[in-house]
Amino acid sequence: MNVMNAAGNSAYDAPQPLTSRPDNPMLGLPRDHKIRRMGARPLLFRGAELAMCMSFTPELPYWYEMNIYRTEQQTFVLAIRLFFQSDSERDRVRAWEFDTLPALFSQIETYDAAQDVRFDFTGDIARMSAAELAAQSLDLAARVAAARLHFAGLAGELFAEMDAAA
Amino acid sequence: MTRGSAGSFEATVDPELLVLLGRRAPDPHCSEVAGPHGPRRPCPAGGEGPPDLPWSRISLRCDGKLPLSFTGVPILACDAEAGDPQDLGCRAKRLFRLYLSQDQRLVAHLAVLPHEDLPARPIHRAGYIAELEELTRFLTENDPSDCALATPAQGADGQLDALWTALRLSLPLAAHGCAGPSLHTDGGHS
Repeated sequence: MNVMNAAGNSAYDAPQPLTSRPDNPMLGLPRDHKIRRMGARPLLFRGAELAMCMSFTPELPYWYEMNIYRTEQQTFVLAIRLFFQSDSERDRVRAWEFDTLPALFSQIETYDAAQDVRFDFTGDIARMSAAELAAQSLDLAARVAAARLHFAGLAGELFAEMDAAA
Repeated sequence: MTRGSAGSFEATVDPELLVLLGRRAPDPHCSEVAGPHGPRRPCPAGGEGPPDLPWSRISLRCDGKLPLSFTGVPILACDAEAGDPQDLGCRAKRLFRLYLSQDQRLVAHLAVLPHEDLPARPIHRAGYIAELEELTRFLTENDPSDCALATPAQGADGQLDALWTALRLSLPLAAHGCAGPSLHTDGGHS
């Protein structure tokens, strides 16, 4: 199982299913973070983790993890990480910094998991029948829908937990 | 520190976050703060307040969104088993609730809970209902067969696997227009 953060040796290199971290001792404690991002400079900050959620499911080939931090500058950081069970896939990390929590929540609500779906087109498109092309199209559409449903379920889980705890 | 789970999805929230939120996150759905999104019933003449009902604070879980929170009262509950018990592809309970908010709007909540032996996730949807057509749309757009989509295509490397995956999932996709021209993806390169 590939659980390494392919984006590098960040402060969060070895994500594990939450079940292996029963008390999540790091939550709430200020520490230095370095989140390497795709297409952007690493996000460096010192702060505390306010919330985390993950969708690890043994039967699924991928899972998401979301972390919310408060920095010492009183800004908020959201990290959305996508992990794959397969060694052949590269894990992906996206992170943003916000001035307010509502802005951060809005980012979660509008995150489109379709961008995480890779399109592996197999075969020679010039020699494919219309039915084969249709099947490929439907397969991609199904995976996009599944990814969106999966992420929305995780976001709902996080928001529901916040709501239940309040 | 609190911790909740549904299926294998888990969330942990530090108390500091709740303090920062003032115990409650801003609710974009809530008309009491953000203004109405749907038409209200006409207010009774003479500026009378809401009817004397057992109002309570209600918070409805909604996938992908902050919970829809309002002061209201349940007025309808309708639970049903969906799918053929012999059909392992779609067996789920559909729990539907209708609420009247204190500002006299209708709120619908639908929970689709797949059978525990299915590799599918529960679905929670909630929204304000302004008119009957919206209720019909709300119910049809949240068909329990959506649950089947929670199962990704594993090992769909070959043409045959892709074809079967497509065929297996084509019905709910067609029903929800997922294969329409609005679909967009950058193939994971962003």
